Parts: sequence; structure tokens; C-alpha cells
Amino acid sequence: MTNSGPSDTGRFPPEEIIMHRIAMYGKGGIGKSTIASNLSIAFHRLGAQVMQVGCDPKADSTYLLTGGKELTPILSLVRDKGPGVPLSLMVTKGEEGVWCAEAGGPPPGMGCAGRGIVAALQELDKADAYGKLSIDAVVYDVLGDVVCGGFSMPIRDGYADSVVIVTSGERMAMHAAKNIAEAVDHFKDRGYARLAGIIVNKRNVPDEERKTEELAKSLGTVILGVLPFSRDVQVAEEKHLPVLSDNPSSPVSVELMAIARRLYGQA
Amino acid sequence: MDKHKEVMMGECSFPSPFLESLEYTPPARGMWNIVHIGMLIPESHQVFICAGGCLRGVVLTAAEMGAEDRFSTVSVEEPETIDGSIEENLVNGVIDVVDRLPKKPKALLIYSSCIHEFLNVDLDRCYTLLRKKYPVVAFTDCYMTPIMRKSGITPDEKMRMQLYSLVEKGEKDDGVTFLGDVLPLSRTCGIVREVAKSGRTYREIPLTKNWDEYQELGRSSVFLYANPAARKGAEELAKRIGGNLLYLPYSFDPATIRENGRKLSTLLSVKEEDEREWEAKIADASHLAKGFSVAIDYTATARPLSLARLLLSHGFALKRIYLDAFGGEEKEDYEWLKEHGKGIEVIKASNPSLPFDRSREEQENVLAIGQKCAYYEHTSHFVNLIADSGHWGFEALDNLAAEIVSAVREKKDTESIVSVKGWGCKV
Amino acid sequence: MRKAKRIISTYAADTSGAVSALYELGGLSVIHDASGCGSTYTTHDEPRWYDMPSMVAITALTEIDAVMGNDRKIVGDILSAMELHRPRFVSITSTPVPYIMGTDLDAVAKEVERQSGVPSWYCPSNGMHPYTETVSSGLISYLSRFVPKRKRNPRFSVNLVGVTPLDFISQKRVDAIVAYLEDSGIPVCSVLAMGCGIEGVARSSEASLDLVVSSSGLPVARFMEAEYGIPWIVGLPYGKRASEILGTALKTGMPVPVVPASGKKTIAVIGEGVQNSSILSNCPDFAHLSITPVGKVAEGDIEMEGEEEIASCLKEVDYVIADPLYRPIVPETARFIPFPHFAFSGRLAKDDGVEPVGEGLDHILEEIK
Repeated sequence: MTNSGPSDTGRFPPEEIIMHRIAMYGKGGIGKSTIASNLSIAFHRLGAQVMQVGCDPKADSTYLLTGGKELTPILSLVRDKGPGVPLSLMVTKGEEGVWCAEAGGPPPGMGCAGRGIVAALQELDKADAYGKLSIDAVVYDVLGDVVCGGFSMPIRDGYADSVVIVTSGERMAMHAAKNIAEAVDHFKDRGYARLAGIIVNKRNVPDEERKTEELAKSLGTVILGVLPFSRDVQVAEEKHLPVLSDNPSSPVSVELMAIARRLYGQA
Repeated sequence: MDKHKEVMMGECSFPSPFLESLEYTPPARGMWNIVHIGMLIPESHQVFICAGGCLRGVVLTAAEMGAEDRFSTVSVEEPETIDGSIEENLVNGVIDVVDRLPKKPKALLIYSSCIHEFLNVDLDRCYTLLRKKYPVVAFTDCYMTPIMRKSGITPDEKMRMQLYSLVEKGEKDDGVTFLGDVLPLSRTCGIVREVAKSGRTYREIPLTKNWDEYQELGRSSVFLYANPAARKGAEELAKRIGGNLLYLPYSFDPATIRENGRKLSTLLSVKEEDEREWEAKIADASHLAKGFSVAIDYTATARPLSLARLLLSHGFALKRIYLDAFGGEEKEDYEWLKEHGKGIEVIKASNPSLPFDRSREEQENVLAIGQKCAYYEHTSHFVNLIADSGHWGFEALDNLAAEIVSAVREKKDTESIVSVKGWGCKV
Repeated sequence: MRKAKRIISTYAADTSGAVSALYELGGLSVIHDASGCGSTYTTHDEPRWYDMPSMVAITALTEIDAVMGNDRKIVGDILSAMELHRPRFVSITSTPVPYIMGTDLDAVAKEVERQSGVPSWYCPSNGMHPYTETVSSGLISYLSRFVPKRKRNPRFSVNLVGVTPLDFISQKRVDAIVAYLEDSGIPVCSVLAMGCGIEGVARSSEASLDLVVSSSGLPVARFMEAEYGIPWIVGLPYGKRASEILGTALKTGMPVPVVPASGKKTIAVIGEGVQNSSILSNCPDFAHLSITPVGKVAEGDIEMEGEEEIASCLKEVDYVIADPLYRPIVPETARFIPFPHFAFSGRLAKDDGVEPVGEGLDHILEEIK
């Protein structure tokens, strides 16, 4: 289905808002959570009801959407109250009305974070989170590396439709991107999420754009957008805000909106 | 009293009276497990996929019931837990087994395990591949996942659901199918007699002898169930293939039994069953049991507190109840017992000091209802009631009275009875 | 496919081995498991469960406790169980999920010991290895904490090492072995660890010689040699010939000689290595095939446990001696002689019809011509 595109208000017409679920992967520290939070805002501005789900035991994906306030992770709620946690406890309405949830997980060096992600997503299913909140767009912000079966849960049937990989031109980031893309490709016969593209979060390393373009080409995918290295992002973070909220006219904000439109155009 | 192991009824909290602790398993084996239950599907074959240690209990369950030829295993080993091949090994292992069976079964029950949950194996995909490979075989997903027992639906509930998952939607008649229990209902109980009076066909899975009869379970337009563990399975079946569903819970409370009877007779348009002089029979049993202290446990019935209330209110010297938690439907009986049975000891059936707390000598004046308490109390005067044993309504009270009389008068060989795994199961 | 078994059973696993070995020694055996492994042990791996109290419990692991790494709960629950009935030691074995998560049960054991002062240890296990491994490690852990080196008793005596119902079914079989040896002039000092009691096991470091009666006993014997200086030999008195050979070896302190065997017909024995060797040594006029799905001991033992590979191995043999649950894969051309092994068939293994000690085995071997 192709959209006719946003109207003058920048929003897509309601009939063109379809369920779109994105899982964001990429090397730890590459800026996934920052980009995910901004894309969540962007989708909302395009007319979607959005939920961002942090899939990381650190439970720090959504802090830019909650004004820096820590959410009680779903797994902590399950541990304390048992399964079947009420939806109202698992999700919080954040910046601009984006719904926020954090899977949480065990402390470092303990437990099983992979199984934790599965359990947390299943709790949201049990509570019919997407149905009850009429969610049109879900952004799963996933821990750095897909190290076991549990961390692939967001790309399984019934969860994300698209995988977006965040990378820079740094070698390790691109290596992680390639690894994740290979995993997605490995699962292509299973009906899992497809690779929608790469977002380049520039670190201003030499030849960054060429390197990342070559990477995209080698992976048979596209560059969805190139985010310039920008102080505006850090300034906004200091205020516990996404840059799209704090400085919507910043070049990085403009590019984030464009990426959001491109992702919606692919839906 | 240490709440890791015991608490007085008057001080119990609902639904969990005890603190969590390590758990112990007594050698009372009459309850059916997931192997026994799965074998109720005629012409089916089971394949369990798990680590060797976990397979042992189920493979020997099948061997002890003489069902080795309906049971196979695929072991999970260390390398596949690390190298990602666990999913393909599940599929290939099942294929290997099926290809070596002398005859393709009508149904394959595949039991995956805790390790598949923790490694997030895509079971849907596995079943898709298997169904594609064997289109004439009906597959159902079953689970040996005790680690998930507090994560939502319990393994027992799930198994009772999967038991009917292969019943197909088809033509309907006015028959009645009783769902969710493993032993056939007594021929003389209210449900069976009233259905007979109504002229309708009575069906239940323990009576099915082949695949066609199993499929006929779905022809009924009325579904009944009495065990709360069967609720999810019953609801799912009725919704999927259509049918009127009625819950007629097990109970030892005459008012509830009468209510159940009214609902059933209204539905079937027949006269209600008589009460079989239950009160006089229970009174006689109570009189005979004077001098005996009584203990019960949760394996005897789906409603242990209802049983406790009946016994206490009819003059039995009920001293101890063995269980691990109270069932959700027992709140009213719990409140009554808290008021009228304050001094009853409620003992955690799984507490690990029980082997040492247990009396060394056989107790002559203890009547036990339930296998676990028969073992704990070290008595031969025991009523071998397991999950209601197919008794329902006033017939259950009638049967209880008769069994108590028999237990008081005659000793049983407790050890050889309670050691039998899956009491009453047949291949 | 080796891992796929259409019809045969499976051996007791490492989760159960240590529990079985330490059952009579007054400790608390903890199986870190959700539920099934505990009842599997008590139903199928432990014949003493009904009449002999022992503290064996599971941790009742749940999904959320596993996911969240709630190791404190394991420690707490063990300590509170110890309040109900104080054990002499705590031994922990484990199961698949804690294994894949890398739960540090060594640390749990150390913490339990630190808080309680009771010797505690973890026997590495995950439900995917055979019972023999933790029978050994359990006994070694116990000996190292509770049996100091003692002055050798000048009177010659032997220990039986590696004794659990998993290999010997019941106390009756063990008593028969002890009686046979003592009647043959070989006093038994200690049995590790059935029917001997805590005091009996404590004396084991005084013995002159260890007789390893199962493969589980081999690592234990090596430990005892290193710690107490006790030499060891391997053997079981099953069958007249084997018993005589063993008797000579015990009196001379020499290893049990390998019996050369050849013949036109072949006998295959499926089971644990020491048992196989003892049985086969009664039949020198036959070619031998010792198949050890568990407990390989001798060079010639064929380590295999896949159903199809075993069946294939048996194609040309004339006699098969094995647990009854192997019968479905024995070719019809071979004569099947049942020899129950509790570690394979559990409660179905009865020793009332089969008493192999001394000449007892010869009644079974009469069928072999």
C-alpha cells in the first residue's frame, strides 16, 4: 500500500495510517534509543498512535519521552505482582502522547535477558496493549546485539514488520550492522521482519557516507537517512527531551521527520 | 508455627497460606501427568523433546503403563543449546521418529520443554514444517514446561486444553460431551443418568476407543465440565466448534449440587435426580468413624475445602488438610472454615521436612482421604480418592460415605496403592 | 538420528546421580529445578523413597525468578529449609535452564555455607549428562569434607566404591555382594554409599583396598588413592567364574585380568561397563560385545546410546543381555536375556528374579550355549 503522502499539516490522512511496527537494532551506544524516541514523535506527528517499547534490561530506552523519569519495567512488575499485569501499570503516556513501555530484565551478569524480552512482549500481548490503545506504530528499541533467541523476538511474526539498523561509519558499528542484517536475512524464509534500511548516525569519521552507502549496497538495502552529527541532540538530551520536541527546525530534526515519512511510505 | 510448613486454619491467608520454600515430592503417584492425559487421545503418538534427565520421568511413565509403542523421545544436548540448532533438531528428530514408526498415527502430540521457551524456539515454524511434511497427521503442540507454571496458564490447564484441540468442527447432534477429566464419570452420577434420561448420546474422552469416536466428541451440541482446570479448554472448544457450555463444578456442598442439578435438568428438560439419602449415609459414616481423626489432601478432589467443610459440619474429627495453596473458587469455603474450623492444621504438602515429621509407626486411628495424606499420616485406613475419581453430585457424597465406611472397616496396602503412577490409566 | 529414540528408555541423568549417592548420609540434596526433575528422581530413580526419609527437595524455579536472576531466593529457600531440619551438608545439582543461563550454583553453595556453617557444594550437572558423573562428584565432595585420612587398619578389608541403587537396584543386591565377599574371606570395611551409615562411610579411609564396583566408582577410587593412599581394583562378583577371578585378585591385590574371549557365537551385553565386564567374563568361549551407553570402563567397551546404532550393532549377535526395555530393538535372530538396570528402567527393574552375585548369575547364563 502506498501513501498519498502527508497533507499540508504534515499528517497522513487517517485512512493511510496503517499498523507499522519497527524494530531498531544497532551497536550499543550508536544512538538507537535517541533516534527511536525521535521517530516515535515523528510518527505521532504524522498521525499515528505510537508506542515505543524498550527491549533492554537497562530499561532506559524511553527516558527522553518521559522527561527523564524512569518507568517501572514490565518484568519488575511481573516479579512483584505476578503475571497478568494491568496495562495501566505497564505503559505510560509520554512526550506528545507517545505511549512508553520498558521490558526491563535482570541485573548484569544474572538471569536471562533474552527470555525476559519474550516474557515482557507476551505480557503486552496478554493485556492487548496495541488493541486497547489503538496503536498504529510500534517502535521496538532493542539491545545492541542479537545474542540469542530472545533478542530476536521483536522481529518475529506478530511483532515488527521492519528492521531498521542504526550505524555510523565506524568499523565496529558497521560490523554489528552487517551481523544483524545477516540474521534478518537468515530468517527471510520464515516471514519475519524484513530489513527496511539503514539510518546513518554520523560520527564524522573519514569517508563516512561512502562507507555506509557501500554497506547498504552490500546488504541489498537502502539508506533511509543520514543524521548529521549535531550538538542540538545533546542540548535536547540535557533537557530530557527528544530533539524533535526541543528544536524541530534543527537540520537533524528535519532529517528525522523525512526518515519517518520514508518509513511510512514503505509500509 | 512456621509458615514455611504449617499454619492453623484460623490464621490462613487466601489464596496462599504459606511462604515459598524448597519443595518436596512424596511417593504418592496416583495423579495423572501429561503423558497419561495425552494418551487419552486414541491412535495418537507422543514425542517429547527435552534433556535426558527430564525425559526420564515421562518415558518411564509410558513404559509403566505399557505404552512404549506410543511414545518416543528426542534428547536435547549441550551443543544445540549454544549453536542455534535446537530448532532444526526438534524438527529433524520428530521426522526421524515418525519415519520409523511402523504405522503413521492419526495424531502426534509434540511436547516441547522449558529449554525451548528459554531459547525462544519458533515452535509455530516447527509445526508448520511438520504439518507440511505429514499432511495426513494431526499435530498438536503440548508442553512439558513446569518453569512456566506461574506465568499464566498452568501446564495442567494447557494439557486439558490440548486434549481437545484436534476435535474438528463438523455436523452436530443433540449429544452431550463431558470435558476435562481423565477418568470416566461414574455411570450412576447425576450427569450421566440425566443425559441417559433425556435420550441424548453421552460422550467423554475416556470412553473413546478410536479416532472416529474421538472426533465424535465434537458432534455434541452441549458441553459440560466440572473441573476448574478444564475451564480454558472447554471454553476454547465450545467457541471453536460451537456448542452450549455449562459449568457444573465438583462440590461437596448440597446447595451447590442442587443448583448444578437444576441447571442440568433445565438444559436437558428432564426431572432432577434424587438426593440418594446422602445425609443419612454421611451420618452413618461419621458415626462409624468416631475415634478416628481425619486428614485430607488436595489431590483427592478439585475442591478440598468443600470436602473439609462437609466433613467438619457432619461430625468428622477433621484435624489436618494438606495442600500448597487454595483454589480460586474456594473462597467461600475458606471463609467458613476460618470461622468454624480454626483449629484445623493446614500443612504445606510440599514442605521438605515432611519425611522427618511423618510418623515412623503406622497410625491406627487416622482416616486419610487422599493419597498424599495417607502417606504422610502413615495410615492404612484410607480413601483412595484422586481428583474426584469420576464421582459427581450426590453420587459423590454417596460414594464418599461408602468409601469412608470401607476405609474404617478395612485396611489397605497403602504403599502399593499410592506407588502406582496415574491411577486408573489404561493404554 | 542418534538423539531420537522411537521406543527405548533413557538413563538417569546427572541431576539424580549425586542425590542417589548421598541419600543415606544425612544431608540436604537440592535439585535446582522447576518441578519435573524432582519428581522424576523420587519416582523413578530412588527405590528408598517410601521408607527411608532423606531431605531431597527442588528449588521450584519459576520463569520470572530465572529471568530476573533471583539467586538470592535460592540461598534463602535453602537456608529456611535447613531451619526445619538441620542437615549435615548441602549438595546441589542442576538442570537445563540454569545451565543455559549460567547460574553460578558454586557461588550459591558457598553463600549457603558461609551463612549456615554447614558444608555445602555444587555437583556440576545440567540434566544432559549421565548419572555416573555426579555419583562420582557427589561422593568425592562428601569424602573430602567428612572423611579425613585415618590410620590404615592392619586387618585387610575392602571398600565397595560406587554403590547406588541406580546400578544395584536395592539393598538386597548390595548385601548379597557384601555377604559373598565376607564368606570368601574378604572383609568389607565400608560401602560407598548404601546400607553403611554415616559411621561406616567415615571408616572408609582405613581400608586396605577399594573395589570399584561401578564406573561411577572409578573417579572416587582415584581420589581415595590420592588422598588416603588406598589402591584400587575394578570388579564385580557376578557369576561363578567372575567371582573366582575377582576373589583371587582381591587376595593378591592384583588387577582383575582381562579374560580372553573368542568363539563362534557372540554375546552382547548392554549396560554399565563394570557390570558388563563381570557378566562377560563368565563366558570365555564366546565372542564379546560390551555396549556401554553409560559408564565406559574398558578399552573394548563400545560407547553408544543411539537406538538405531545399538540395533545395528546387534544384527549379528546370538545373545543379548540387557535391561528389558531394550527388548524392542533386539533382532529376533538373537536370544534376549533380560538383566534389569535400575538406572534405565527405574521401578520396572526388579531384582527378585535376577540375583547375579556369585553363582546366581549362572542360572541366567544357562540359556547361553
